[in-house]
Amino acid sequence: MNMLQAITDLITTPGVTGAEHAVGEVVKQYFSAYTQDIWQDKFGNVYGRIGEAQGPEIMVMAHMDEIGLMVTGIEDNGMLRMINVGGVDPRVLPGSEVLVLGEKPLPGVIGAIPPHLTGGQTGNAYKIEDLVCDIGYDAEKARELVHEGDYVTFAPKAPLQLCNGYVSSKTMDDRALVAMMLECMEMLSKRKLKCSVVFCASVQEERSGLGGRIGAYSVHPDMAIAVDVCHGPTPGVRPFEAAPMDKVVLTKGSNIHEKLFGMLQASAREQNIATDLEIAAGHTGTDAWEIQVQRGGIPSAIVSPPLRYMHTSVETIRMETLRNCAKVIAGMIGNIDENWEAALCLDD
Amino acid sequence: MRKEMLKDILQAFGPAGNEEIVSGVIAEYIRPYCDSVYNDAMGNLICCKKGTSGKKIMLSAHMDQIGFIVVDIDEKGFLRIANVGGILPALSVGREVAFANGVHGVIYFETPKTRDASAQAALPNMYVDIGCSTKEQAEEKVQVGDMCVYVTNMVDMGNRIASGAMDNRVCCAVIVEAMMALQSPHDVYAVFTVQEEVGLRGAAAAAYAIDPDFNINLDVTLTGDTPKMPAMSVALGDGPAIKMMDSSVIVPMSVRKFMIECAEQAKIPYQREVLRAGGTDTAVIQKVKDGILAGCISIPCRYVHTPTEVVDMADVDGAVALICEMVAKEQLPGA
Amino acid sequence: MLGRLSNTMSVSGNEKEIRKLLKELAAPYGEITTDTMGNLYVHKPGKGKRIMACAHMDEVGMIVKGIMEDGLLAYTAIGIDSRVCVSKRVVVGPDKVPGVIGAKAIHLQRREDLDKSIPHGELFVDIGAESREDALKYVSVGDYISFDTEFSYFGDGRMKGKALDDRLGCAVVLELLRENYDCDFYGVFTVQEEVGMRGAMAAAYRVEPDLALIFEGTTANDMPECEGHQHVTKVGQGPAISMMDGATIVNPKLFKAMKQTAEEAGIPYQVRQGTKGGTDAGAIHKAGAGALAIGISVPCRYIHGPVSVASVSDFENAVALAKAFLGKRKFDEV
Repeated sequence: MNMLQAITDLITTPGVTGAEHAVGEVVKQYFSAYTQDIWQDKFGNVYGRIGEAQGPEIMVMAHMDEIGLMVTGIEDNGMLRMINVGGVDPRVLPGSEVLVLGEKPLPGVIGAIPPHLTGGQTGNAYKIEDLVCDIGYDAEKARELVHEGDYVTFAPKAPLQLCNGYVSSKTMDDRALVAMMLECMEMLSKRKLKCSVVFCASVQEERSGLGGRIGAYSVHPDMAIAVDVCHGPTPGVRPFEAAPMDKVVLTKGSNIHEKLFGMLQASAREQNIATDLEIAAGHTGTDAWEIQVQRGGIPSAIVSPPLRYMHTSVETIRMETLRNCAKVIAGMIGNIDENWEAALCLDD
Repeated sequence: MRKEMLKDILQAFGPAGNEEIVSGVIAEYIRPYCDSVYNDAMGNLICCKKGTSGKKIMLSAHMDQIGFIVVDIDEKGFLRIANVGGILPALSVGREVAFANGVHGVIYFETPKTRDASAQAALPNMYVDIGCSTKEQAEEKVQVGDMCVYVTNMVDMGNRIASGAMDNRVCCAVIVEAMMALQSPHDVYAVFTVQEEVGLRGAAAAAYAIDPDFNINLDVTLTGDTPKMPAMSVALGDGPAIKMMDSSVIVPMSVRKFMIECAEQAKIPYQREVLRAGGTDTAVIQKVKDGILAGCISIPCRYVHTPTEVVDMADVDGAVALICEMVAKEQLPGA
Repeated sequence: MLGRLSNTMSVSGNEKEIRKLLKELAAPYGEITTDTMGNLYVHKPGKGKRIMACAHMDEVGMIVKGIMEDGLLAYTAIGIDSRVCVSKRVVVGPDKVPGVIGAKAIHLQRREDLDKSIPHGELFVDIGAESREDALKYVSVGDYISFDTEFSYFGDGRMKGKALDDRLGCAVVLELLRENYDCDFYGVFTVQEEVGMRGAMAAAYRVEPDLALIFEGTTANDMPECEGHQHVTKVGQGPAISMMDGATIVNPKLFKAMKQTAEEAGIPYQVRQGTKGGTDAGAIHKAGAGALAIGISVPCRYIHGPVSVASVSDFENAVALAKAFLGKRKFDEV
C-alpha cells in the first residue's frame, strides 16, 4: 500500500462538498483491494466492511469532501461571481488557479480589482464578493458553458514532497486521512479480528455534517472513530491550540466517549507511539459531533494528525504521523474482544 | 392560481408555534383532493393522496409566519414583545398587528429622544398599544404568551401581488393548487410544516413519520432585481427557481438534474438559485434517518420578512406546473 | 438532598459522580438503566401515554486545556462568563485537587485595564505546583474543574449553591418518581445539556415520549436596573411555566393546561417571559416524529456562575405543580 500514491490519486480528483461522486469512485477502487463488501448511500458516502460478522461493529470515518467555490452568476464581460462552499478564507484566493466544473472542466484564474485602482490600499482583505473567476470567454460563450450552481475547485496538482517526509497539497484535509484508512485496512486485513469494521469516506463534513449523521444512523455501529486533521504549530498560535507535527492527537471532551478514548490511548502506549491531547469542551468540528447523538447515542472518539495551514492549497502533513494514526486505530481494533460491552460501560 | 384561495391562505393567522388557524384554512381547501388529512404532535398538517407505485413523494412548505409574542404587560396596559422569527424592528414600527382572538393593536417604540425608528427601534424598547389604559383592561384581551402578526392587505398589482405573509403562504397555495391538478403514480404527501421561521423545527418530524423516497420543498427566495441589491441572478418573473445551494443546504446533483430536466421537458421557464444567506426546511429533511433526497423550488420574492413581500404570478403558476411534471414521473431521482 | 445534589461536581461530559448519586437516590422507585452517553433512565411502566420527566444533571465548568511551564493550569470554560471566575476557589480532577483562580494584583494593573474584563485565556488555575512536571503529579490535561461552593440555606426561605441549574430540576424529578401516575412514566436525567442538549437527543430517541416535562433552574433577572419585561422570572413568585425560549415554542393548549393546573390547585406560578436560551425541550420536541414538551423552571439568580440563589417555596411549588399535572391527568387535555 503506497500511501503517497493514494493521496495523490485522491487529491487530484475533485470532490467539493455536495459533489463528491468522482472522488467516491477513487475510494471505491482503493477499498476493493481489501473487501468486496462495498456500498454507497444516496448522498454518496462510500462504505467498505472488513472483519468478522460476530462481535461489535466499529465505524472509522474520514470525510472525502473538500472546500471549494460555487458559481453564483455570470457578469456581462464573461467573468464568474462565486460563493464559498465550506470554510474558504477569501484571502487565499486572489491569484489562485482553479478548475470550473461547467459543461466541461474549464481552467480559470481568480482575480480582483488591483490595488492601484483602490488608491494603493492593500490593508483591507478581499471579500468573496469582490473576487471574480476569469475563464477567458465572453459572456455568451461563458453562459453556454457555465451555469449558476456549478462548482469551482482549486486546480488539482500532485502533492509537493518537502524535507523529512513532510508533504504539502490542497485537500490534505481530509483525503490524507482517507488514505490513512486504507493503510489501516491493510494492517487489519492481516489480523484475525473479533469484530467487524466499516470504513466510511463521508460527504458534506465541511458544511453540515450530513454524511457523518446519515452514515452513523444507517450503519448504527457500536463505536465510531472519526479521523480528521487538527492544527499543527504555526507562528502566532496561542498555547495549547496546536500540537507537534510528530504526535498522534487524541481528543478529549464531551464529544468523546472516555472509555473509547482510553482504548485508543492504550493502543498508542502499547506501540510506543507518542500522543498529544486536544481538549474540546463542546463541538469538535468533526463528523464525531453528529455521530455521537445518532440512534440513542454512539460512543465516539477522534484521532488526528496535526496539519499546518488548514483550508489553504498548501496544507502540510507529516507522513510518519499519518502512518502512526493508522497504527493506533488498528491496534485498538485488534484489541477488541468479547468483553467490549463491559469495557465501554461508563459506570465503574 | 385561484386568487381568492391565495388571499384566504395569506390572511390566515399563524405565527410560528401557533399554526392551528392557518392549518385549518389549508385543510379545508385541500381535503377534497386527498385520501387522508391530519395534524401530527407538532402541528404539521399532513395530507396524502394515494398512488400505486409503492413510492412516496413529500411536497412541503412551511405555513408559519413571523410575528411577535407578548412577554409582559405593564401598568399602563402596554404590551412588551419579543420577536418570533426574523423580524426587522424598524420596519415594524407604526404597523397594525392582530391576535388570534381578533384583538388589534399598533406597534410603536420608546421615544425619549427621537422618533427616528431606524436609529432607535429595537425589540426591547418596542411595544404594542391595544387601546387599553391599565394592566387589568389589557389582560382581559391579551395574555402573556399570546402572539400577534402584521395585518396586511393582499395588494393586487395585476401580475404581481404583495402581502406580509407571502413567505411562505404563497408556497402553501402552490401546493394546494398542485394537489388539485396533479396525477401521480406515487403516494403524494402534501405537508404544511410548522416553526420554520424559528429554526427549521417542524419539517424533520413530519419527514421522519412519512419517510419519503423524495422530497420537494417550497419556499421563497431573495432576488437581485431591485435598485442596488447585491448581485444575485434570480429575478421576479423569470420562472420558479431551482435551488442549488443556500447557507443551510446543498441540493444533491441527482436531484438538481431531475428538476432541471423536468422543467426543460415541459418547457417551463426556470432559474438556478444560489442563495448567499438564508435557510430552508430542505436542510433538515435531508438529515432525517439515513438521509432523504430532497430538493427545493423557490418562488422569487422581493422584500422578504417585511409587510410588503412581492411575488410574480408567472413564477407561482410555473411552480405549480413544475410540481405536476415532477410527481408524474415514474422514475424518481436515485443515488 | 438539595445540598448533596448541588455540591456534587459533574461538568458536561463528566457526569459520573452525579449519576452515581442519582442512581442511589432513585433506586427504590423504578427500573434503572444508563445509556452509552451516560443518560440515566428510571422507568415506572404503566399504560397509556408515555411521559418523560427530564432534568439535566451536568453543570457548567471548565476543563484543563494545558499546563504552563510554571505549573499554572490553562483551561477551557463551558458556559461561564469569565467575569465571575476571578478570585474563586475551584477543585480539579477526580482527586479534587484544590485550586484558585487569581488575577494580577490591582496595584500592578494600569488604570485603563480596570475597565476591561479579563478573558478566560488570561486566567489560570493555581494548584500550588512549582512547575509543569510538578503539576502533573496532581492533575492531568483533560481534567474537569468545578467551582468549590458549599450549598446552604439563607435569608427568608432562600438557598444558595452552585449548579442549581439544574440540580433543582433533578430534585424535582426525584420527588415525582416517588408517586405513581396513570401513564407510562420515565424519569430521565440527561447529560451534556450545557453543550447543546446533546444527551436529550439520544434520550428522546430511546424513550419516544408522547409528552415531556422539562425541569430547569432558569434565569431570574429581577435586578434593580431591570424593567418588568426584562426579568424573565422573579425569585419567590412561584415556578415558571415556559411559553417560548430560543429552542422551543410551547404548544398553546399545553401551555394553557399547565396554567389551569396551577390555578385549579391554587399553586402560585409565573410565566417565563424570556424568549432566549434553550433547554432539553428543544431537542426532545422535534426528535423522531415529534412530541409535546413544556418546561417548568425554578427561578435562579446568577446562574452559570459559582453561586446561584433560589427560593425553597418555588422549588416546592414546582414539585406540586408537576404532581398536580400528572396526578389529575391534565396531559389528556392536550
